[in-house]
Amino acid sequence: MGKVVVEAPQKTPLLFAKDFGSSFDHFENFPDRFEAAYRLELESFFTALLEGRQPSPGPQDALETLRLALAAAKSRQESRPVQISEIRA
Amino acid sequence: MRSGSSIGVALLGFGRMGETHLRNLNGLARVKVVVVADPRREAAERGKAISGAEEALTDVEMAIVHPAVDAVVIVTPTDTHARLLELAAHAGKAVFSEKPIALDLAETARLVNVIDTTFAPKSPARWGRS
Repeated sequence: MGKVVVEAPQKTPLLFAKDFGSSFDHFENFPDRFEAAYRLELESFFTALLEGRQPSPGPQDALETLRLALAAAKSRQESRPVQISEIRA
Repeated sequence: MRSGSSIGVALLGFGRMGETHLRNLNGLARVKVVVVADPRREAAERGKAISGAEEALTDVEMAIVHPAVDAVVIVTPTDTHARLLELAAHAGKAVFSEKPIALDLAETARLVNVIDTTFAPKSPARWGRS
């Protein structure tokens, strides 16, 4: 068992304090928050093609991540731990 | 026209993520966006302008079979991924797709099998000489 957490930290170290309150800037959306990841995933894909390699992640990874997501959804619905092996086509 | 050894790309779907991917594709060496396709004409045209693509198409399936296209980047609505992915696989195109492939395990497994049996990496020297 375990968990994965993706934190959403503030975008820059700037923090504005005024009248006993404070504010900071934040990421607006996924393309903003994961800008480097989106850039690098395409770079990785096309570099693999240009070098004659299978890109990674591949189709099998898509199948397994869907299996994980379905297990998580089933666990939430049924309020119990769900083994990944329970999730079959 | 494609330069000697670059990969010709069709970007399918010019929404927010489509624009993100298109701008990133622009920055890649030896990758040339040749077609931007979106059922909304103005979106396809805007993508074409941003990327310097040769064509803006409203027919996404035509973009897949375009002769200058070696690879497709699928950024269309989720319920269209499976159909477009299958078409691209059968057309012999390399596919980069947004998740998920499909919404249920059986359809995803079927498509993974289609891709595994149709896609083989080209040797590096083959790009741009198809």
